[in-house]
Amino acid sequence: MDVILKGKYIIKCKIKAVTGLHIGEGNNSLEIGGIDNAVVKDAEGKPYIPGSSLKGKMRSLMEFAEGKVRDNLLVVSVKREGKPEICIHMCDDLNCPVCGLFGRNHGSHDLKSGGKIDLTDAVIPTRLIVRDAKLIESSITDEMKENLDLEWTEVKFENNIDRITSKANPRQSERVPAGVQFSAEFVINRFEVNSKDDQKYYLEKFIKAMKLLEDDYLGGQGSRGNGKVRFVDIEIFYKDSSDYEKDSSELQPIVTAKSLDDLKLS
Amino acid sequence: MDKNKICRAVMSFKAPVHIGEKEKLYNITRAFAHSDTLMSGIINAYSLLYGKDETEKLISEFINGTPPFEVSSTMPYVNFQYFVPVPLGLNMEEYKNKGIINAEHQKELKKIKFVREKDLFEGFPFKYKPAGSFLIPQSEFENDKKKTFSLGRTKERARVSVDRQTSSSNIYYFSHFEFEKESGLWFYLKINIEKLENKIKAAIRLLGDEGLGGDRTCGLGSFDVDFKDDVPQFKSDKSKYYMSLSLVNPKDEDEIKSVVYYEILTRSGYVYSKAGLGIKRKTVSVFGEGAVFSSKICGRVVDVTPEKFLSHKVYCFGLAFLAPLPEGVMLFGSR
Repeated sequence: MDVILKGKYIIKCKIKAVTGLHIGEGNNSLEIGGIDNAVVKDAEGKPYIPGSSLKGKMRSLMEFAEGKVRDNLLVVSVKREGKPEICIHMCDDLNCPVCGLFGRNHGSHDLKSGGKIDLTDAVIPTRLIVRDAKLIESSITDEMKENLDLEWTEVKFENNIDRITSKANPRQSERVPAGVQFSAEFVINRFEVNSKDDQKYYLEKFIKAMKLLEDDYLGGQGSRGNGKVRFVDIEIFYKDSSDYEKDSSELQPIVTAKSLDDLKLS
Repeated sequence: MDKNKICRAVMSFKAPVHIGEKEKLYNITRAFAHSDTLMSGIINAYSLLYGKDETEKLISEFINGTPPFEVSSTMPYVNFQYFVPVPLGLNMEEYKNKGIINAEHQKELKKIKFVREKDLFEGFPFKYKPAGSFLIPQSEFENDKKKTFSLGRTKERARVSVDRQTSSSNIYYFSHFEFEKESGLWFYLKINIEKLENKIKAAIRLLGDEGLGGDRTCGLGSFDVDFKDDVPQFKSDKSKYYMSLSLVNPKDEDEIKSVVYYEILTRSGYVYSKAGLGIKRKTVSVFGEGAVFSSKICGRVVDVTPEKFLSHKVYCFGLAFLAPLPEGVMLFGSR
């Protein structure tokens, strides 16, 4: 199989937290007086959205939207005590929008419905790259800072109550406040696989995944209001593979839009 | 070394990197990439840009012993000061006794892993003090303008996979290295065939967009690259000792005999390619960076194609990138 890079679509945009956003860190240390449920932060102590969170969520939504969540299309990715624990979609269909965009694993896998599937011949480099989305500091205004409990984030108290004794069991949860913006970047490789050019197929599919995410949630506790996001100030660039031979090239966006609803690909 | 053809490729990272230590261990990361990792990254990017046939032509040049281009391993830079690994066998104690290195404890000397490029090749003209694994001039401490002198830090990222039907989750940890501002990695790039220069640089720029190391599709490892010509004039080409700035796999018996100080590393891992399976490649032993040789050696590219793997050949880059050590460098047992 011969795969040649034709170019890259680069989508730059801002991710706006419409409601509070909680992407957990998986605490491994507890400080006295600290928060039980922290959010991920970078080396400078500022919250960010990891590329893996965005990519994982979009993949999952895309699998549902493309009708790929069926026993005979799911492979077992984690087993516990010999039983399938985590199943996700992966297939050998070369035109599968999910696998083509988000990637496949090498080798042979167990299918949830039983039997095995070998993806060796279907594997090509993953088209989508999702970068970490960094906090835009100016989106946290001085007024917001006055009301925040921590430097960049708020602390939300949550509670559960025993139904009979009414005993309260409060807990704290850290979250990025509503209104905060992150700068995000997505790259979609346009390949020519066995002389067949992708054109805009995967770009269009990815925009669908972005729309799906807007109507779902990112991070934790989404069914309780957290994690609604919107993509704003979208710019799409195209970098041709020949551009790499030049020292630097000033790219002009091919499409710009205020929001996904306004976005129209020519 | 011909100065005109060598340049310095400076990578400024836009995201953290994950460079695996051993296969299937996600919670361990290195802070730099060895020359074989770097080379396979470049070759893969080259193949993406120019296709299979042209890449195979390029690789055959390497195997014939006429490499079209050479790279060193990646090395750190901190506050835009370029570091190289300490030559193995450098007699730190002697430097300390002569008052060149000012260290309070013996332990500090042992921790030094990197020295500034210009200090090593100019024979340590100033007075120095260790700062963690770096040896820096004492004046840096006295100015006290830059308080932090660190390359970056390792952080752990919690990752989760979620079952599509039952939503049960599996948590695992993935560690990555975040560089400080004005710090990152750099490597020497030597281009032997001039007409390939643009293509090779294009491949390295593409590698920057694709990313180096693991977990690239989640945004790790991407960098901007800058090609600079400010490499030092290596004073003497005929030197008593040569130090390797890359991994070396010796070509023959004579090359093995010429090694003076060395460390042996084992390189293993999985095949990554467009046609790659997730199968293990053959393991190979190499001399690590900083190995000192008494003569100019070449090294070789090793075939590590696993048995029963027929799609293409798999190679491990083991050509030596040598730098002559200056006169008067104090090694153990040399006087």
